[in-house]
Amino acid sequence: MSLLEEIKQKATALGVPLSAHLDITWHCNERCVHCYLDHDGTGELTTHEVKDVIRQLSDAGTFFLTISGGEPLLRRDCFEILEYARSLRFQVKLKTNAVMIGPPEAARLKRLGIEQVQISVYSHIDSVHDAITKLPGSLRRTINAIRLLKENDIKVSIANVLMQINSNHGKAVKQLAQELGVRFSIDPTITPMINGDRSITKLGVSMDELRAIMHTEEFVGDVAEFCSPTSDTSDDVLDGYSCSAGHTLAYISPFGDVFPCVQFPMPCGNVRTQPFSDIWYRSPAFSELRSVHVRDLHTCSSCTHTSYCSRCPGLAYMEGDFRGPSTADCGKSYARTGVPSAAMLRGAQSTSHIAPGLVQISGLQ
Amino acid sequence: MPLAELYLSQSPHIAARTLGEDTVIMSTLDSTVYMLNSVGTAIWNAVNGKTPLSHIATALCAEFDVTAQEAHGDAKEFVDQLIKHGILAVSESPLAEAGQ
Repeated sequence: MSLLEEIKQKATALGVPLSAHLDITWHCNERCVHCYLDHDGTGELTTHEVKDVIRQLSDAGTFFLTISGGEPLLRRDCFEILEYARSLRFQVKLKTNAVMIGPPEAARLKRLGIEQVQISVYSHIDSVHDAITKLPGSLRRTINAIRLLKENDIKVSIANVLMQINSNHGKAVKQLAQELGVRFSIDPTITPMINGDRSITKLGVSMDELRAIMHTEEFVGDVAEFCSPTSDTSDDVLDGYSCSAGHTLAYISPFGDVFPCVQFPMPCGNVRTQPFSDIWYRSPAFSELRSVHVRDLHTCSSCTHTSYCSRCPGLAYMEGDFRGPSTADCGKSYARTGVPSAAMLRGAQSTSHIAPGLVQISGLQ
Repeated sequence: MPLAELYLSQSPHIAARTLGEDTVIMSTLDSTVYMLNSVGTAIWNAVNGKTPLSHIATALCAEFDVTAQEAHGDAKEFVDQLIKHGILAVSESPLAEAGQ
């Protein structure tokens, strides 16, 4: 077990929110076609309120703090917030599109000891990236900022969200990341909007494209090993949890709403009306979430893919039941192994009840 | 000047948090993660730039029921590692005086 896993296990046992994701604004200077946020909200937490939340997170034991948005640098107090977080000895990661980062900003982030800056790059081609962000010149500005961050010896990670429009650009973006000397990760999942609107999910890659991604050595390493199905589900897996959301991870919106994760918009409380620790330790929603182990999942606990599935309870929640399967993750497991998930088989069985009827009708004609 | 008489301070280039009886530390310079046990945590919490290591080690004797020789030896070895990793900084004078 790695030291980080040991720390996470200890935090789980102690009930400590080891990681927090704090969106300080949902306003943004880009309009990404697949974005899950509503950019027009008002009533964001003030500087004083944000700092108070950060102090409460420190008191609760949070170590990993992600400051994100929207575009966090749009807030004039962004650096004041980052500085305050670092003064409380958080390990701080900043998620930004980086188009507002010039030499002074990069140097300041270095001085503050920001551990990592995560930046989305959708394509190596300006016209494709800019068509997704809807900000002309955004790829050029983002790449310039990445170079500045690297010159300041700041760790940078490129996140490459893949959808239909850029589904075959992953390898080239990975190559770009290597040329820039930064980390790279891909994500082929388009999540519904945080308000439940699923319309943007139609932008996501097709099953054929997903299969191609899952069978690309540059993304998954040993393809044969990664794509081999196994039904060997141990008791440890069944006694465990799908992910850290609500166990060691909390999300806080710019308006003070607390969720288990940014992709899991189950209301747990609001820091404007309740101390964070009260929400974390006493919210009925968090308690309910924490009571559910993998063996309690009505469909997924008996699925072939249980031991390695990336099942997101937040995506399942947005489909109506966080104890249920997430269609996107069933798709990923299927694309990876060629073996249908339990939920897909259940769906097929439902269909098969209809099919014989159709056959019979056909026979009567 | 021997290490025991030097003044220690926590580096600004770290992230740190107490987790139960232990302390998690990450260097923001190279992202290396360290976990201090309860004794390490006691030393870490006592490091304030104003107390020499010898005084910190003496205080550990009572808290952890060890001999002075053991406490001073273990503390020196532990602190030496943290200094090498850039987690602790050393100074010949107390922090407040150094800043004056």
